Amino acid sequence: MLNDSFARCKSLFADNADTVLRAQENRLRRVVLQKGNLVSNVRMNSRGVNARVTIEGVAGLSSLAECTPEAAETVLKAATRDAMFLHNHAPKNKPMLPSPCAGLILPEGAIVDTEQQRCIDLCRAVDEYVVKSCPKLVSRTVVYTEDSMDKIIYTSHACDGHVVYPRSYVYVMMTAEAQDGAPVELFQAFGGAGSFNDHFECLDDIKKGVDDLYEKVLQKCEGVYAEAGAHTVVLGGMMAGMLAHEAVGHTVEADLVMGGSVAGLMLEKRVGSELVNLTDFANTAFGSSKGLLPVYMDDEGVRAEDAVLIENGILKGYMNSRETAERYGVKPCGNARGWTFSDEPLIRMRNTAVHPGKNTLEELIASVDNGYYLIESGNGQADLTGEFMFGVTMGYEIKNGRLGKALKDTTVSGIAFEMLKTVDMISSEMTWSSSGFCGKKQPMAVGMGGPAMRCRINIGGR
Amino acid sequence: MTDIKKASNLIEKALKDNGITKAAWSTGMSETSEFNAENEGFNLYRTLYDVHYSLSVYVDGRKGSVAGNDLSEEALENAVKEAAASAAAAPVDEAHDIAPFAGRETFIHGAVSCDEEALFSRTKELCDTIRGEYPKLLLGSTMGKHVYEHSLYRNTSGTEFETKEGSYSLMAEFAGNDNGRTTGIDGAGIETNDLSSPVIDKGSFRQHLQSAVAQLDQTELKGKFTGPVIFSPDCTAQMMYFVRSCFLSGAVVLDGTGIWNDKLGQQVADPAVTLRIVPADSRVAGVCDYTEEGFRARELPLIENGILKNQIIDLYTANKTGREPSRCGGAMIMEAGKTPVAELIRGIERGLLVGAFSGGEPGANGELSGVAKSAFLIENGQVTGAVSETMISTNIANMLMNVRGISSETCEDGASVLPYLAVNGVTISGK
Repeated sequence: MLNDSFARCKSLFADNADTVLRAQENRLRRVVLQKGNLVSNVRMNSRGVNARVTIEGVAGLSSLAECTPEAAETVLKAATRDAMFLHNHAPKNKPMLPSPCAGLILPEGAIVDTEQQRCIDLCRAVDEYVVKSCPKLVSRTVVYTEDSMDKIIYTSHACDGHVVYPRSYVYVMMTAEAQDGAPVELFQAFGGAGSFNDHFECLDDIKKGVDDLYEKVLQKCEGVYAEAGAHTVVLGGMMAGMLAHEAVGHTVEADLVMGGSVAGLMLEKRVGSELVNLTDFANTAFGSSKGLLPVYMDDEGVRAEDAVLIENGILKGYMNSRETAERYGVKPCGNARGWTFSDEPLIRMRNTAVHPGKNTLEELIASVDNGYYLIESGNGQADLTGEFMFGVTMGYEIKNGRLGKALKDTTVSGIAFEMLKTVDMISSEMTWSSSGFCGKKQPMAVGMGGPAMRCRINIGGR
Repeated sequence: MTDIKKASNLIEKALKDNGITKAAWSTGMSETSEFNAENEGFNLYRTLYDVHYSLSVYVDGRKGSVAGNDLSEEALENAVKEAAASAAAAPVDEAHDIAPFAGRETFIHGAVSCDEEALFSRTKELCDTIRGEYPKLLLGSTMGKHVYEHSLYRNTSGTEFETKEGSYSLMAEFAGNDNGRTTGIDGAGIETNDLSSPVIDKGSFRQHLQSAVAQLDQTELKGKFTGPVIFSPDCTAQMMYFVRSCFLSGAVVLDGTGIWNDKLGQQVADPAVTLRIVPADSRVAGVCDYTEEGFRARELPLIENGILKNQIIDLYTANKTGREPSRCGGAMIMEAGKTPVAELIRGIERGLLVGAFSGGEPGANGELSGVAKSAFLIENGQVTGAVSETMISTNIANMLMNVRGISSETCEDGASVLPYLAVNGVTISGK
């Protein structure tokens, strides 16, 4: 973990500027076994310090690939120079932002490095199990990846602190062959927040997951195309999480609201059925941090709190930086984060999720006469109108309240705030996912989650 | 320390000290100047100073790699030891190898120094022009950036390539916003070495700006039909990226899932399709002098007149499969056709003009399904209006066999050169 030698640098902060000094290290450990071949065996460390200096509404940011007080002094001077360049060429003359609560935030947990030998051994053990248990595959890939962020933050007007965010995963990707010879793929991630030892001391969960994945990929080989058009569907928890993140979350990031998002016109208006509640959770949800990527403080020194987005179907708020929170007259909740030491903090989601309801998944499926149960999504995108698209990598037909044939890959789309109004049943079980990255100029590790939901959605089949 | 030659020498010494005789490594530094603006004006100016190294060692047929940005002597010595430890943990696989001696050369390209005032002025001009000429658009994230990189590649075959290169990039995101109506985010960008003229008339800025305004008047497409689609040059770039990833990459050759793996020399596309990777082209800002594996980069034809000429084979995959390494790098260029895009449109009774595709990357089978963004309905040879919530589905391998035309116009955005691509047989579905 980073050594904190930056406290004395606060004396260099200028009185007339809002200043944040951030030292950061990112680590990556990655092993890839493709069809048994070790094609990637990499360890990567990247560290440095950056200063953001805001003068009358314009900011300068400078970074240097060194984590020393001397480097901090250099970037403080350079960031001040950059801010003054903008102040002279394109002044905004805005007053200084109000200070959120000050304080000191200390790390919860630690980053524990793992020897590469253990990462390779883990992948080989999983690969051997896949080979032994899944004889009909034509290809398989096993990946171990561990990425972590370690940040020390000093601010002129908010909290100081030291936070660490490790996460580690094993991905298993399977390829089988359909009867027509076309490759059929499916993958599953195992792991979550924490280091190697937190997840991979025992392989029982992965083996069970591999068995389940193999069964699904074989079902998918016999899969049928979904019928294009609008359908009643049951979205699994992973799909609900993707919806929460892509279709709703991005439209209520305040910088995108300022950029013309449809949510700018919808505050305090109905955007979903009364069953729909949606929150960007900071570090716990419903009394537990299990499945989440906890965030304790953002890169502006704001202590992280939950951001309530939708309450009983009514849009209640946005996710903010300090600047946009001031614009919208609300308290910032700690959403401004940067990915590497040289990245400026942007408004990013933490753990965005639809709240659970009261039904069971079985009740939801039984209620559909002719539709689909959509479980896994490989990707998703949305835009300012709330029009979203998710790739569906695993799903089933529902015929007369019972699951039918598996589906080939397809896509669903819709307008978020119209589609959420069609949600009429929500299950009580939550599913969390945290293995992905969100892309918005920079990547960011994010969590998402949700229960199963019954709704109407467009399917892009044949 | 930003002396990248000294850092490279330190790695070389540490390799010798640790008895490692086969390795490839690079060291480098970069300086970035980046102006950021939004609809209300400039909000951030970033200046970034970074250094980096990467190192792969090969010990008794085992490979280990490390990368980082601490060029101190102690850090580099530790990096060599860490790479050696990673290699020791790996299984023996003699297919891991480095390129043979490929020369010792120095390359200098592009705008190596940043003209800060010119970059600011052109970025401001881009913002002001969009705000002034397109009042129905809301300007989102806009960026003017210059990156200078100095890098040094060496390997134990004796190869040494030193590169100093720089370029500018300017991009803008915008959305239609008028009387409570909004559109999705659209955007465009260019890479260039020349800031002597306004950038808004370069690349596809104007096309995207006009499209975003027109998207304010969307109608819903009802029902489903199978018909032709014309992809814009930017959308053609997306499609060719998918083709490259699904059918042409070393990964699908290595795992045996690529459906073109046994089609070299065979027809995989309409005879109008010619696609290649070029290390340098006067229409492209950057130059690729050498590959990550230490080969001098060369031009590689991928598809010529519809015939599959090459897949993109990395050295490891080549050694595994007995094929030749591709030794290619650079920009993707698709040969222009002979038909103006207006004529392609005139020939369509009912179809779609698609500005961008929102959807996931197809799997190895090439099945593609997603939302047609910045999409316009074509009826009786005319573009009749913007459509919302429209999905398209096809198979990209079949799509290339069903090309109905390639435009004579190309988009040159400094990163690639691509035309409009018109294809038949796409499933188009509305509400």
